[in-house]
Amino acid sequence: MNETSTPVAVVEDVEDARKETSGEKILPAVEAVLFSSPRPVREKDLAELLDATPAAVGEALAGLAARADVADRGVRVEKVAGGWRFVTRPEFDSLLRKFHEVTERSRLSLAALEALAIIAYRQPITMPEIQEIRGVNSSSVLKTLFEKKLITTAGKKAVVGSPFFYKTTSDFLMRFGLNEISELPRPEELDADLTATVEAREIAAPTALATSIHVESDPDLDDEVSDAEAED
Amino acid sequence: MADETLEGSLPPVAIPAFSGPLDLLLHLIRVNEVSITDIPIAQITEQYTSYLDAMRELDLDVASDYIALAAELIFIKSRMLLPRVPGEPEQDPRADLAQRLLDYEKFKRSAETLHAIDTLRGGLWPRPETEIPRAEGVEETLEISLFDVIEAFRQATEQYRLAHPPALAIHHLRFSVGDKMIELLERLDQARTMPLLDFLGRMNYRAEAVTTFLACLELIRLGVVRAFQTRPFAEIHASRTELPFTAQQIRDNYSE
Repeated sequence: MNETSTPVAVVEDVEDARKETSGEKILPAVEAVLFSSPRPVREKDLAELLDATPAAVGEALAGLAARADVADRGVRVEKVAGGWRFVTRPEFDSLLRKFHEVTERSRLSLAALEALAIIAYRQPITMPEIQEIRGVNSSSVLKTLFEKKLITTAGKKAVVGSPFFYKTTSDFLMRFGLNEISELPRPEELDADLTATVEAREIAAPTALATSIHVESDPDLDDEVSDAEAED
Repeated sequence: MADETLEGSLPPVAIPAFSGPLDLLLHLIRVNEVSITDIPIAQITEQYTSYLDAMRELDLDVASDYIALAAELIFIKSRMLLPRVPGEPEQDPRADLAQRLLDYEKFKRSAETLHAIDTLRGGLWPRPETEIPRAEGVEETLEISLFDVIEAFRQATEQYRLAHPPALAIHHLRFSVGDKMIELLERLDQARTMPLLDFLGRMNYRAEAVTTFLACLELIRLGVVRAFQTRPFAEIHASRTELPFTAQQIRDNYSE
């Protein structure tokens, strides 16, 4: 393990290096890649880039997450949309807004969130179907969601008028902190306190990334999550 | 409550923003503390319609979707007043609406969850998206929408159009009866008589011949031109009559 301690040796003896590269060794490199990337970086890409085993990459990411979590740091790593990225800690929001001179963040209207929720849970789904559930014309909210890149088209339904199918995007996953769409809280969970649901998802995340916003959460909630039957 | 709403110029309570008719209906169900599966239709319908009136009072645009649900409520109410047909399976006329409300409520709550997550995560700042210059030949995978494709196609066709100007512009030939009437009159003023069939036969375009023929018929109808023939199937000659007629009169009456 200690034989190939220099990067030069790694290049020269790829096979051995691959076996022996530990998570601890590649951690700084992983940190550098995540720091520089504007999009979440996939573990597969990190393994390929650093010529390391998936296990080593996983180890490095876990180490990075733990370090960022324990130390007094302004950033942390999170797993979203199938990759990893750095984000700032929530307590610095007002500071950052002051620094960047941002007053108001763009918010989604209740109508837009309703349509987004319907698409997220029932995707792929057409506009007439969304309107049927909401009982109201939804073309303008869909346009908003489209412009914010939260939804996209997914082919057309083979019915009269062949309406477009809509689905959520990776921007949606990033905005709502989901690694994949199956992580959406199931409607059954909505009986629990909303913030607890949010907290449960944070806990359910593969790393121990407790947010600094601590909410009283039901310790049994995780079990309820897994027991909850798929709604469809 | 309904009367107060109707009498005053403004409703007694501020109307919260509803995201749709089902949202308004759910609000009324909650305010009245009744069950979705056992809605007191008469009471709720009255309140619902008075809300719509209040919205109109405030010059809010009451969308047709709201009116459609009002109609549905009134329909359900009327069905509940009718006696049941003996032998027919007993079905609550409110069942469909109740199911729709339950479905809608589920998504409304999901929307609230999304809002909570969005608020919580809004305070997290990721690295802003920046363009990192790529090495030559490295293809970037982008997530694009259908509209990006449409825009790309539009730009491509526009570029193609600019790069390939038409080599030869072909204008459509257009003939007007008025123009041809003037032309015929001018010829007749010079030649006194002219062989019509021969004149039409030497025209380059069918449309021009047809137009000229129509112009000729029109001049004959007006009595400005006379057509004559020496024997059957022979050449038809046209000549000017004594009736005064100017090109200006034609322009005034036959301009397109």
